[in-house]
Amino acid sequence: MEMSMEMKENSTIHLAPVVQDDAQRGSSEVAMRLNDVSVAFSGKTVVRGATFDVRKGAVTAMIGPSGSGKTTLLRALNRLHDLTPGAEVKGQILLGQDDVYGGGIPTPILRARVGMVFQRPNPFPTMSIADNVTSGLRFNGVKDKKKLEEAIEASLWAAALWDSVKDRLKAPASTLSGGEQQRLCIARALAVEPDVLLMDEPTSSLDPISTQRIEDLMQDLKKIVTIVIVTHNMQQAARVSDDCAFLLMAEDRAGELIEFAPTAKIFNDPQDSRTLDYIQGRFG
Amino acid sequence: MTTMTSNMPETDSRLDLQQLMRQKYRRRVIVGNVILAFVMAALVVALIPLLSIVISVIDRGSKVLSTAFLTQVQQDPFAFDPYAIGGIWNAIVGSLVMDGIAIGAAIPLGIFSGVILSDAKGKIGTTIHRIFDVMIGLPSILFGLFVFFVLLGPVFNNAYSGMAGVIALTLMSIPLIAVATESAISAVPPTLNEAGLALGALPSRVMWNIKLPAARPAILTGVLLALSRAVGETAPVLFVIGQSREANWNPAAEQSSLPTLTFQYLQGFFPSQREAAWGIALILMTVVFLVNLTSRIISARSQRG
Amino acid sequence: MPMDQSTTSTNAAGDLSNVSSSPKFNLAARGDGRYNIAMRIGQALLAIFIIVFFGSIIIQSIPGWQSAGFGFFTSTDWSNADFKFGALSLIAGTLVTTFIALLFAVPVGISAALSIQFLLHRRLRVLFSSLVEVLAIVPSIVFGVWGVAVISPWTQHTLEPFLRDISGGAPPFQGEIYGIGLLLGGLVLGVMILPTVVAVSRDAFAMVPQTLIEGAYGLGATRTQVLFRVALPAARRGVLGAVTLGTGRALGETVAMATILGGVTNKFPSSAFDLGATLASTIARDFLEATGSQVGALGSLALILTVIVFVVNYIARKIITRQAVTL
Repeated sequence: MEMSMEMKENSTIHLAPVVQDDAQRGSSEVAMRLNDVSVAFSGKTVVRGATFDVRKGAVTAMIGPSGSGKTTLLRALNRLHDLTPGAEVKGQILLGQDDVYGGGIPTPILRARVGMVFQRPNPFPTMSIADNVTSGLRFNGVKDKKKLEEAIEASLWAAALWDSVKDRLKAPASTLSGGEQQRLCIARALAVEPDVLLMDEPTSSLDPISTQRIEDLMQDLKKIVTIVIVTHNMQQAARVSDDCAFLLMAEDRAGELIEFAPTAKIFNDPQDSRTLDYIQGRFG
Repeated sequence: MTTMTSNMPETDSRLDLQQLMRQKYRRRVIVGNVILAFVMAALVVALIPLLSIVISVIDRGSKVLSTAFLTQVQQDPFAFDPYAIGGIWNAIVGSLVMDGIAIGAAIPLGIFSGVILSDAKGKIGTTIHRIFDVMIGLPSILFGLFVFFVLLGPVFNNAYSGMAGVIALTLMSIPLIAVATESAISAVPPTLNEAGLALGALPSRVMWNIKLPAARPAILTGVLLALSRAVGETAPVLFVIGQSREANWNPAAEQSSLPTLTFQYLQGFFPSQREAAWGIALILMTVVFLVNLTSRIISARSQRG
Repeated sequence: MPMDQSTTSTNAAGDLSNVSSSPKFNLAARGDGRYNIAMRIGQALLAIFIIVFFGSIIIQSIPGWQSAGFGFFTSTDWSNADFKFGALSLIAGTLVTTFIALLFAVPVGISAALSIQFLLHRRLRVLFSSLVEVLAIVPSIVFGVWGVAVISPWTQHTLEPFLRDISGGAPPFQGEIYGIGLLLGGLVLGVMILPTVVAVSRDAFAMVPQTLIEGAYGLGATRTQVLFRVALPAARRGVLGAVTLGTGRALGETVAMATILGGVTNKFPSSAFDLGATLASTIARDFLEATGSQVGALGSLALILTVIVFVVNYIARKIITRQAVTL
């Protein structure tokens, strides 16, 4: 991957990488559809008017400066705002054919279908590595020993963690390094075989090598799960994503979707001048 | 970068699993709600006796309270006049005098002990720290026994004295204030400490001018906690202050206190004495409540400031 | 200096010594000789206070051991008036009342703390947690007043007959009903330590990282599962500390037990309805009338009590390292 040279003069913060246009990334089927989604806390709108499709088998990135509401929007997708008193989500979010906020899917079932990986690794400290992996299945009532054992191996394989932990599955999760813990959290989320995996700045607390490994992992993961990632790092978005949603804080401090397009288009030929400004590092 | 063309397979295993989880959903929601109902019921079970105490103390205590009850000294009822219990003025005076002096003495001693604890290093230092932590939870009667055995003979000539009670209450309060002070000092941000030292200030100056002022609200909370403990404690003074029926502003005289009079009345023969116990209980609870309210206001202010 | 190094040092005194060990600050430390001497003297005074305090408790118990001998721990017959000093009934009374107290306060207290922290609206949470914190420092004599007048009639006429009927009089619900037995003592103790258990365990629940709770919800856990499979295990140290702290308080409670319990000191309890006494209540009741070897025997009870409570509290403080508990 090469950096475009003419961007160098304003490269104090970010270099805008050139992304190859690749129409074949992901399918054209829609995994999740956002239709005019807004989130407000105690009446104060934090993000509004987000409309875009998350393509099945693709990596969709949400980028934008801090305060643009990317994490808030992400957490609307698995109804995590239900935990916050006073939070309100408007608009429509579809998971396949199901309306996320329509009452058709019970929230716990929805969250099993839309998994999540958080900014900081959060394995359950009192559980072993294996128990962490199977926790989601056990929460959801799966008790069959054979199923659980299969899930441990399959999920840890998928998270590229199996080889390093297969001899210490009974060890506490806290004995793992930060990067390994984050991959354990990915394995934990994969174990319930979700349709979509939400990743909220999954590498922000990790060192460069661990970050690299998780980025590599995502390319393999999208064969089995649709990924939506929030990142503050544009180069990461350029490296890992197929589609890109760019959000920006409006005058009233609410985040707005400025542009949604294939990643190559966002980075090479953005339609909105504010997108261009951002990827060239003029603000953020 | 390689091109990725494979569509995500709609595997049977994923659909089977999601189907299974949906089937299990109803059951676990029902079980979960039953458990939640028990958890909430436990809160009610916890509140019933606690509210019963508050309500019955207010209800039955307020029936006893009167100006005479508060201003007259204690009398002993007798068969022909079973309601002649007088008042509790002697106990009020005793509590005021003894608790006042005890807390007055415990504040400097406790804060100084806290400073020492925060400075304590090595094996001996940590052992002292640990033992002080544990002393907070020791039965308070031990402080009364200590004063009785060690001081009542040699210092007080085997005579009951309010001062013996003062010493017992002071000793009981010192660990409370000391541990509160120590944890408040250790909660002062190390950067403040380092800034002071970097300016060339002596450790004593840093302690006096930086750490203690920063720790003041938390120390005050500890002091108020010690005060509410001291006001309500029966056991430490039970063996050493006697049972004065006179109101003595002289702390060295034989004394009475609100909790010890309650204890005495609970074992009394006349129903009027047991009713009077409710009145004292109401006063004790009110004091504890007001002291707690004060410490809440202080800590709320310090968090804002 | 990297941030985490300065923030992980919890002890300010430790910091002080680190800084003053660098040559530049040694000067300052040397100039502060008086402060250091004062600290040394102060530390010595605290050590002397501790030695004298615990030493006196040990010394004044010696006459008791001499007069009662080994029978102190094997005989169940304690009668101050007859100079019989077998403490076994009292030790049993202490343990039985504390056990009943825990049977009530542990499940109720932990569940109440869970519901206050996780199930109530924010305003109610603040209200209830303030309420239990205030109740945790209500003087124990008030619990005595309440126990005698309000709960004792209830245990006598309602609870104890009910328990006897439902169990068919099987142990431990057998024998005569007085209403002022060990069961009453245990229940009042349970109510007494309940605010402490609730307040300290609620603190522990409040410290469970939000990320863990969100992580569990994010996997499809229900609220009950988050409470019992994630929050409770994550807060287990604080909860255990709360229970241990409550245990220490129940074991050492003096005046409430002295007013409530029947004060029968010469019978090893065989029923929850039995009259009984605890170590502390016996000291409080008998001490003022005691003479001669009776004083020494009560001193021995005090030593047993001290050892038991010291050990329990020591364990509690070792468990609760992060919370500053002053309840």
